[in-house]
Amino acid sequence: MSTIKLETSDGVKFTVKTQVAKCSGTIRTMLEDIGINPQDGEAIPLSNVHSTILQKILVWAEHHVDDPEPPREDADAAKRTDDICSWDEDFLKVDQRTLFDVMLAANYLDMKQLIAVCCKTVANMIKGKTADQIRRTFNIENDFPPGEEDKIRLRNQFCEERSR
Amino acid sequence: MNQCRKCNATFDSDLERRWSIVCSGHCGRSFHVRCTRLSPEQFCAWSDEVGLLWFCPECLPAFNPAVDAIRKSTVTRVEELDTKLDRGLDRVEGLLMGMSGTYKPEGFKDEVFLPSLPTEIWELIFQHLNLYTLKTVRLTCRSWNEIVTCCPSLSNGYVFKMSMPPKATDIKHLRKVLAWPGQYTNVKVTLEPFANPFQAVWWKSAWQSFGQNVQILKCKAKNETNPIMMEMLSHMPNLKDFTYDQTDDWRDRMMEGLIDDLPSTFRLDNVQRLLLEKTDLNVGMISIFTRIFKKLKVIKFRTRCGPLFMMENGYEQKCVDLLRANKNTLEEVKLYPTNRILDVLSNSSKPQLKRVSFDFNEQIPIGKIVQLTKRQHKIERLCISVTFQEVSALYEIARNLPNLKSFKFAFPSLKLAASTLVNFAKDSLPNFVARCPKLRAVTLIMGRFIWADFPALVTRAPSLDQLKLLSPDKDSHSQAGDLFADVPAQTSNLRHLQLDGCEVPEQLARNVGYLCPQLELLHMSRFPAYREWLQDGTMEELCPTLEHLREIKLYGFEYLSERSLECLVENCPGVGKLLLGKCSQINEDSARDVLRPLKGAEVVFGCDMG
Repeated sequence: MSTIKLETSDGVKFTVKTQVAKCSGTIRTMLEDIGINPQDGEAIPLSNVHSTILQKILVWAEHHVDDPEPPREDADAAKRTDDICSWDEDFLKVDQRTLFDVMLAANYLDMKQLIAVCCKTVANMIKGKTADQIRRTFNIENDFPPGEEDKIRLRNQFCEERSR
Repeated sequence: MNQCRKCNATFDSDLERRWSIVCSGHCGRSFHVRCTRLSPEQFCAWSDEVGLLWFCPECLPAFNPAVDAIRKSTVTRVEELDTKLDRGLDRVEGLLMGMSGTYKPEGFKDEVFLPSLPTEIWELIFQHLNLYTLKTVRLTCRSWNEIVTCCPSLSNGYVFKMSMPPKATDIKHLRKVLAWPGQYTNVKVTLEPFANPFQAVWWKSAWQSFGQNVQILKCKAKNETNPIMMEMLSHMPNLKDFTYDQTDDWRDRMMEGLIDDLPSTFRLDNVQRLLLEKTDLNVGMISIFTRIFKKLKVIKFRTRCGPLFMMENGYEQKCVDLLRANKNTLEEVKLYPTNRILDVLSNSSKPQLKRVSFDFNEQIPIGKIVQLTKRQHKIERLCISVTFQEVSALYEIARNLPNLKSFKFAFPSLKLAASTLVNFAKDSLPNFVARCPKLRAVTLIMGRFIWADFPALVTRAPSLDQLKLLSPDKDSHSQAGDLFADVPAQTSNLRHLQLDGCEVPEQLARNVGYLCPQLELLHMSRFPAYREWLQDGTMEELCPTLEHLREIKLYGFEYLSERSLECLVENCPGVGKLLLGKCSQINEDSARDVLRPLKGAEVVFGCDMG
């Protein structure tokens, strides 16, 4: 089985099965469209990804490498956040810093399935909380000028869910 | 909010609070009336009248366009106003002058701490949230508020709802909301005639700043308010999606005059979707739409009372004109067809239609539909209701449409003479789906369905994902026989199955899980005449075969008890939604106890059949 080398921002080199590396849209484009030849033994530089994060992402890619192409879901199904498989759930039981770094790296590497499952995880962290609890969860400062929150509450009153 | 922003003193008594005025602009701050140099009469006018805005000197410059508009409309209206109103408008002018003064609000902090994710990822995250949670997200911090309000895919997901004239309780709030050019992109408006000219003034100025952002508008209006609606539309250059509905008292007049009043340059080229509700009562509106919309991709007409009235009012010609005006962009139509309309669609210069839906018109032979599909071979979604005798016409449609993904057949009204009734002969439906390689969804409404066809129907087309059978004819069950006489070789890939108002044979219900092992959604409801067929024993056999089940609906099964629910809990842990209706033996409280292990599942008691 063919392998390729990836080099992270801190200079660590990983040898990865080509098939696993192709979970990343970015790497797939490099290999297939730009025609970088992995047999040269030269590592593909991933200047935005740290080795600790890449290691984690490779574990995920290894586990999901044989997943079938997901069916295109309709807009209503996209709202579901309770369909994270239990392996992913355990995989993403990490501190927030790491979770966000994984998302950034997944975004850079163009791994749609990983981004989707991370987004669902973060959405679950937001659901059912008050604004104050959300701020504490994500360490956000309440930066509204006085009175602004009341105005948004007012505007919220005139909003209703779109019926389909 | 307890301080006057001019003198910084607090409002310490009720009286002072009552004599305070709120800026309608960006800052939304409160002021002592005495600090604003407004006269008591002016203040009373402000608190009594709907249409009066007052801006502090900080905010006033930002609202010059709105102010100009109000001044202008004041000038044009003066001639028709009586003296009492003149006095009132003087008061408007006085109020709009604002107060003199030079106080400065303390500067806003600009730095925002946000977890280091780019906006587009937050948008993806927020897309998983419902409106209720999004409201909380908006209150979290300024940048999140901006993400929710500025991203169209999020802000299109909720509706800003208002009525005009507003309810007394809403007036104060609306005044603020509209004065701030907001980011509401999806708006629903109910229009009533204006009660007084103040409202017209206010309304105009509001839309000048507000309308720019609007992309989706649902308007419920009356004939009298159509001029107001057109004025509103003229302030919405970015509108993409327009729905017109009418309140119940209707008079199809004022249309011709309205068209003459439209400036010849008035066109809304960004509008791609048009939905006309109650088309039979609003045939006149079609002419107006022909004038202003030239780049529609989607045209949908819903009818309520039936075609007779429409035809009398020149529906056919008006509809043809609209279709011709938009012939270069059209992709989707849903309308009441006539032979001439079908000819126009069939004779288009290039095949472009992707989604087509026709109401029932008994004068349309199925040959016309076949002819349409021959020309428009790109159709992906087809919804028809016609009579036919020879099933070969259906096969021809399947041959003409290689991309067909969704097929819906509404059986024509059963009141028609028996000779014209549609009968799908045995095996005809399975043969049809087998000829459509991309077919994903099939819906059949009101018809004779041969249940013995069911196993073949769900297995012949491997791409079939959704099947809905809604209230088929009562006779359907009698032809059942032994359903599994020829057991199909392969199982079905069906994920969604709805059997609503059907006489589903018990044998089928019992075995549906074996036939369709991928089922995620199962809806079942039945006619009252055969109430005893589905019992706990059926569920005991059914549930263990539904390991992927996420949603189930059971309606009108009086012989089911909590035992069935226990079965469900034991065998289908993935169920996230459960709908129950008219299952009189199931007690709500004990049912909730039984269902407790399904963590986070949504349980609805007393659901409807449909």
